[in-house]
Amino acid sequence: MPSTNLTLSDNQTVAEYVPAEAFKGLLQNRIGISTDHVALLIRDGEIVDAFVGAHFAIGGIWQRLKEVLGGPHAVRLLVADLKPFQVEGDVEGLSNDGVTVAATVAIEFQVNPEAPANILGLMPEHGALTKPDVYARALPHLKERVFRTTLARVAAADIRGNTALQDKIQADVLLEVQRLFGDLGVLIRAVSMTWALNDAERAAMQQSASEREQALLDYRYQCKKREIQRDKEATEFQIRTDVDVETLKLTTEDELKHLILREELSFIDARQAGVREQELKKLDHELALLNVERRAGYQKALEEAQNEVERVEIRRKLRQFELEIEAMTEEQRLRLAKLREDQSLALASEARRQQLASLREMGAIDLDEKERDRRIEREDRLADLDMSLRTGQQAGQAELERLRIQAQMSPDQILAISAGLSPEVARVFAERAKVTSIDVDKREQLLREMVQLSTQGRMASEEQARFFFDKAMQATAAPSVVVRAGSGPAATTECPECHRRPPVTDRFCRYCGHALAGA
Amino acid sequence: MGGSDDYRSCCRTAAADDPGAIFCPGCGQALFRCAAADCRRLVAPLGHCTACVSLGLSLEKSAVVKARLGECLRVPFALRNNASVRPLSIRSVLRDGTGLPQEAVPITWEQLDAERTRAFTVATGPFVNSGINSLRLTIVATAAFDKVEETYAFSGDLAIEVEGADPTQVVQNFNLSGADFGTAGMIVANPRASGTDRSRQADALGARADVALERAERFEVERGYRGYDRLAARIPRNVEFVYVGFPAGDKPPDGPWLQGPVLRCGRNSRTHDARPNTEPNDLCLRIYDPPSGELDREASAVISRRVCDFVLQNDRLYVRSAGGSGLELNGERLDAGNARVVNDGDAVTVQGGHGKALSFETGFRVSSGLVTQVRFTKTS
Repeated sequence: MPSTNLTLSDNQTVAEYVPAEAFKGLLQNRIGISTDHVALLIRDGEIVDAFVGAHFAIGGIWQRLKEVLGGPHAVRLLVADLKPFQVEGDVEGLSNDGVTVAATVAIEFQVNPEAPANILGLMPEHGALTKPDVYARALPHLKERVFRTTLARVAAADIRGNTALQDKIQADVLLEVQRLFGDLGVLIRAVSMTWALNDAERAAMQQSASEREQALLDYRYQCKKREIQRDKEATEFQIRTDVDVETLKLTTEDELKHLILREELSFIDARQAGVREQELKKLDHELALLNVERRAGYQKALEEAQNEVERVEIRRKLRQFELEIEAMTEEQRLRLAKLREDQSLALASEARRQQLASLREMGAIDLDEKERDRRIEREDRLADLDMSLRTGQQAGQAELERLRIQAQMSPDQILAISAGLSPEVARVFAERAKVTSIDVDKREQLLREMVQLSTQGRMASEEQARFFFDKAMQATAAPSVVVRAGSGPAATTECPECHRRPPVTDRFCRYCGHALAGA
Repeated sequence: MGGSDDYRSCCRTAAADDPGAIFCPGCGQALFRCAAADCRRLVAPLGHCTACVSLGLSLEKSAVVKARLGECLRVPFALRNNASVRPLSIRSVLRDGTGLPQEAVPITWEQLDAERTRAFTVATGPFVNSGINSLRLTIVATAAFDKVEETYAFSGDLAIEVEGADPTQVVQNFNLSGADFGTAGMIVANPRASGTDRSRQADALGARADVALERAERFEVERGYRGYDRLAARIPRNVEFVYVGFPAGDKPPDGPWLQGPVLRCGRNSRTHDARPNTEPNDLCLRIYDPPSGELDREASAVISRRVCDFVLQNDRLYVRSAGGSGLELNGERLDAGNARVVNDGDAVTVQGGHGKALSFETGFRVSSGLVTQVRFTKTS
């Protein structure tokens, strides 16, 4: 069975009861409630439920049977529109400057979807609740409590376009409607005012219209004035031209020719002056052009010349610097080569000297060893042969042998050996004495001192002998040049200032800067 | 001034032949040597050791040294430490030049080891003058020797060719009369207005180019790296030191310091001995009894064997505490290892025992921007 969508009877209705005939009949009626409507089911004077978007099955045989069996029920269905609806009305009031102000107020209401049952407080006992009913109920309160009190606070000329005033009215209307309909199931959503022209605005409009009209009249007056002025000037010109024509008619032919010649002359003069001016301008321009070209050319040539001069100067400095570096490098290389050569020569010389010394020492050791072996062998042989001879003969033979050896030595050696020194000490003494060429008395004195030291056991080695000899020589002689034998370091001399030994070739002591005697 | 040019050939030969020579055996001139024990090359009195401190500045091959008016350049450089042993610490690099203010070049590295090359880039501001513009780099480097640390500044100039906005373009306005052209219009004749742009890459050098570096002595003094800014003077190595009031056996001979830029001071005597005095001093600091002039042994015993060193460094005189205690400069105590610059008129005090102290003052004689004499005058 198709259902019938239940709506309100007209657009001005907000809520209405479904007629009782809908519940009667043999056949069951199916009624649908759309989602923008609410249906309140009232059974036996009690609200059973509120439905939004529902179907009802009403009447029919089954309902009848139920009523027969269980007794009849008083069922009513109230349908209310949940869509917002707008109502309008006129209000009037006095502004604070005493001008009557009229306005159309539009208020948007809505049945409260949260509490639709409260709408029953507005419903008449029978019939429907219309939009004008709602408005008629609210308007008296709004007129007195909102609009008039609000309008009395502003001037008439300041009302139009005053959004603050709109907001205030809306807020006041909300409060007032809330007070009125808060428990009656009606909400207010918006309020707007459309102001009619008041006297102040009307006067302002008239004033502005009058000003525009006055401006238009002024403009027309000015136009008319200029037109009259032009007519006047044209008339004067025409009159003057006519006078000139009449004057021209009265002049003679000669005067006319003179006039023409004068005009031609002035024309020719003007033309020639123009040509000359053009030529002068052209000449000036050419001069300026040449000036600019030459200046640019000179400037460029000058910059290039400066650049070239500076480049040449930089290249010259660079070349000079490179030459200096090359010279220093070459000098350093030569010096290093010389140093290396000197060093290698010195090393070779030292090595050779050491080699020769070693050979000499080895030869001396070999000779001493052979001599000792021979003497031992000879003494053993003599001992074996002359074992039986007398002790006196043995001593004589030994004395004879010693004398034979001493016969091969120098007198100094003999003297030294006689004094009890070792053969090495005696050799050193002889060698140094020969080199320094000291006289016999000093030699003997030295020898005595050496003998004395030797007997005291304080000198036994060759080094001690050399040291003693050098000390003795320094004490007896003035500072002298010492020349070392062999191929060792260069000869040195003693600096009298710092007593170090710089090479004899030094003109100044390299250790203290003192000027040496040989300098 | 920058090297061994202050010496004659005989001096250079003698110094090379004998590293221990202090005077030239040929002319008697004092030979001042590098402070590094492993170098000992000749050094001019106001110069630096060219073997230990040798910087080489060069332009990278991709460098562009041509610009136009208003352009900026970023010039890549390579800095090389030519020394074979000694590393250098590059403290700063400054750049200035024609129309360019002096600004520090940001460098992310500091150490420049021996025989090593490191790169940096110099940005130049917009050039405002056409022609040859100068770009000057000033490099401040520090070299540490055995006992001293010397700071030197070197500067090198680079020529940058700056062209005009368009060097070959001549813009002229010809106001041609209407009689010639029919219309009196303005025509701009600009024969080379286009087609003259060239690539910056084409201006690159293509090969590394060396930039000559010179010692910037004036810069060193003005910036306080070397010498005395207040006196506008520097102390050379050959400055004469005079010791007034010290006993004859306690002081070195008057004159320059020949053994090196350091004067050792302390209680120990000046005589080297293998056992009791292995570290002799140059200036012996002992306290004597004023009336009798005899050595106050008890008061002197409190003084350290080695109190301080006077060091010629950065063309200035420093006093460096060597340890112990009781060294004061102008009343301010110097802890071990601390060093202070010694100025003209400064008072050095060494505290002894029994409340006694040894004090002496310094005095400089300045002539023509050089300190020619430093006097140590004993006051107590």
